[in-house]
Amino acid sequence: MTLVRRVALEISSRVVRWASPGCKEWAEGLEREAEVIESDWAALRWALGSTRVLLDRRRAPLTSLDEIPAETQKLVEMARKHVGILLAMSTTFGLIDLLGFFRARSNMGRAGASLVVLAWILAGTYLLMERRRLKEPWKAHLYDDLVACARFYKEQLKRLDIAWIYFSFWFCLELNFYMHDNDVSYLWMFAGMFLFTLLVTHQTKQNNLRRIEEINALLGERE
Amino acid sequence: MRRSPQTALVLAEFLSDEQEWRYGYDISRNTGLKSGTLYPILMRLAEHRMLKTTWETAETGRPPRHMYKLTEDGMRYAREQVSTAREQAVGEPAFDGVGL
Repeated sequence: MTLVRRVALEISSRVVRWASPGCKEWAEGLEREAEVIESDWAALRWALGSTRVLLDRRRAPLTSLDEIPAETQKLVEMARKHVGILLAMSTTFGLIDLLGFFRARSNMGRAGASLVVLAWILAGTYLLMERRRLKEPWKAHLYDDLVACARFYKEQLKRLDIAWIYFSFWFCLELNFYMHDNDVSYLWMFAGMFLFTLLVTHQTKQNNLRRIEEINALLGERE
Repeated sequence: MRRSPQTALVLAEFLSDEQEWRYGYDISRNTGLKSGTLYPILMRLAEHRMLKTTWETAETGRPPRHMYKLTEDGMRYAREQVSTAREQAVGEPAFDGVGL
């Protein structure tokens, strides 16, 4: 086997290893093709092109409604954990921002600190409500009814999208004020950071939309 | 489903032999698309339930290959897309903007 062929096969096998669960099968398909391509250089070009699959981070597709309770449970547990972490973050940052408000030497500084304190209060209120909602006792019975569970799962995915956008907004605001001593005149930089965060999180949103479509298709098949 | 000239090429390739299961590399060779362009298109088609995939029944000593074929919905969509693409191509003047 030539060196070029060896490199091509190594790249292909790494793509399979690192591909996200939802792309694994495609990565394996690409790997098999690389193995049958006769020209070594064509196989290398094929393998290099296959690395694009690594950019697509998707979950393994749902094949039946029976998988939904386990997925829902996973999502709820993850949401609970994130709510806990974000609550701790909100409290810490909120208190620091409050101190920042009293220490501010200019009106601009005070305006900046007030804005982040307000964002913290809103975030804290939302998180406390969310924590309560995720602890509701009726949720335990939800897992017995597949259709109700699928609907709850879809609703939870949509809520996560909104929460994600809100916390990205809040985090960028916070970071930006720390970088610029609470000065609101740097809001354009915050807008840029927020936009960047939205672009980075676009894939998560796409994944959630894909999952919602899968659930809709499974629900449609059942009806 | 995003429309693009590359997607139209892939769909036309599938329509050239509707009943046949196709290999990725063959589609790539016939359409001139690189693997990094072709596979996202195939994945999108599969996601919209327009493409079915299967693993070739393995011959001894050879690893199975992944194969693709349009579903009924996929064929309907492909015919629409390919005819739209042809109509657009016919509507465009062949020597538009070429000065003599």
